[in-house]
Amino acid sequence: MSDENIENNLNESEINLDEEDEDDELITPQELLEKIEIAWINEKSAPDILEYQGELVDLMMGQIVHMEENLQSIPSNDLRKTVHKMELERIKYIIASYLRCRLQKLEDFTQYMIEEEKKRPLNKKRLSEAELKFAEDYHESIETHFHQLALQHLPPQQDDISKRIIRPNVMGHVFVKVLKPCGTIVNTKDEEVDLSENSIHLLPYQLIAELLNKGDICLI
Amino acid sequence: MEPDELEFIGEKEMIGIIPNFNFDLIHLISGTIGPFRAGLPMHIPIWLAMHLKRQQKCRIVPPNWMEKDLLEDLKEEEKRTANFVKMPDSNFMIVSKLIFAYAAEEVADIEEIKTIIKDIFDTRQAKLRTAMDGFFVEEKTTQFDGSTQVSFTNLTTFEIHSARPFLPYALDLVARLERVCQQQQSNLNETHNSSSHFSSSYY
Repeated sequence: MSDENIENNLNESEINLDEEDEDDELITPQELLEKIEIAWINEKSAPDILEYQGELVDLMMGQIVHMEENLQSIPSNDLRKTVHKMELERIKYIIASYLRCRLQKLEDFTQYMIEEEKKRPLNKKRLSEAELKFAEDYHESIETHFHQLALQHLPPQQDDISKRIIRPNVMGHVFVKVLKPCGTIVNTKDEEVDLSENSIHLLPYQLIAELLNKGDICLI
Repeated sequence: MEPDELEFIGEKEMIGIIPNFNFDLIHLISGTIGPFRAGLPMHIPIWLAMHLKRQQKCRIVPPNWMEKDLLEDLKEEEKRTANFVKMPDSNFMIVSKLIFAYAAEEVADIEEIKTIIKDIFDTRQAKLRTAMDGFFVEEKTTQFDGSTQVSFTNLTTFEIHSARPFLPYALDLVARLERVCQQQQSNLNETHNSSSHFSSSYY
C-alpha cells in the first residue's frame, strides 16, 4: 500500500463516524474525544453515578479498533506508528479510568445504585446493562457473604437490610465550571449564585445535578 | 484526581516546537498535526512534544507567556486585585512544570521565571486560603451584606485540586453535623411520643 493510501485509510474513520451518528448532530473524532474527557472528569468528581455515556464509549472504541487495524499495515519504524500508538494508549487510559470509576461507585453503593436505577424511567436509565448486571451480582455475593459470616446468627428482626444501605453524599460539595450561562441558583445558605459563563463555584452536588445532566456545566 | 492525572490532562495542551526532520500530516484522533518541516515552528500536543524532545527530534518553543516582563506584570496584577487573575493558560502550573523538566535550556532567564511563577503561585495560594477561611467564618456571622460568595473563577484546575482534599470535605462535614444536630433536636421534641433513634444509615 502506498503512503497516500494509508493516510486515506486513517482519515476514513471520520467519514464512518459521521454515518453512524445520523440521528445526532455530526461529530468529529476530536469532539468525541473532548466529550469523553468531560464525561470522565465529571464522573470522577461527582458523588453519585452519572448517566452512562455508552454511545460515546462505543463510538470511540470503534475508532480505536479501526485505527489499530490501519496501523498494522504501517512499518514499525514509521513515526506515525509510534505517535498514533501513544495517542491510542492515552485514550484507552481515559476510557478505562472512566469505566473503573463507575464500577468503584457501584461497589461502594451497590444497593442504593440498584434501587435508584429501578426507580428511574426507561429513558432516564444511568447504568449500562452490563453495569446493572455487575451491580446485582456483586450485591448478591456480598449479601451471601454477610449472611454466612454473621447475619444467620442474629435474630431475624435485627437483620434489617434497609439499615445497611450505604448512600453517596449527594449534598457533597463539588467544584463546578459553567459552560453555558444558566442564570442564578440559590445555594444552601439562601444566597443567589450567578452562574455566568466560565465562572467557577463550589456547590452541593444535588443543586447542580440537573444542570450537569444537561451539559450546561461541568465538574472540575 | 491524583496529581499525575492532572499532569496527564495538562499534557494535551498544545505547544510550539521546531522539528529537525520532515514529515507529512499526521491525522490524530485529537486533531491533525503537521506537516513537519525541519526548522519551521509548529504546534503539537505536549505529550508528543516531550516524546520527540526525548528523542532529540525537536526543540521546544516556550509559550509566549513564559517571558520575564509579562510574568512580572501578571504577578503585580495578582497582588493588586482581590479576585483571582485569569492565567494565560488553564493548565498554567502544569505546563510550566513540564517545560522546566524537559526543556529548561530553551527558556531564557529560567531561574528568574521560576521564581516569579512560584511567587504568583504563592500569592494565589494565600488568596485561596483566605477564601476558604471566608467560607467558614461566614457561617458564624450569617448576616453579611454584599456578595459573600467566594469567587473561584479563574482558578486553574491544579489549584482547585490543591484545595480539594480539604475544602469540600470540611464543608460536607459541617453540613453533616448540622443535619445530625437538627435531627437530634426534632428527636428530642418527640421523645415522649416514640423512642425513635436516628438512623445510622447516613454514611
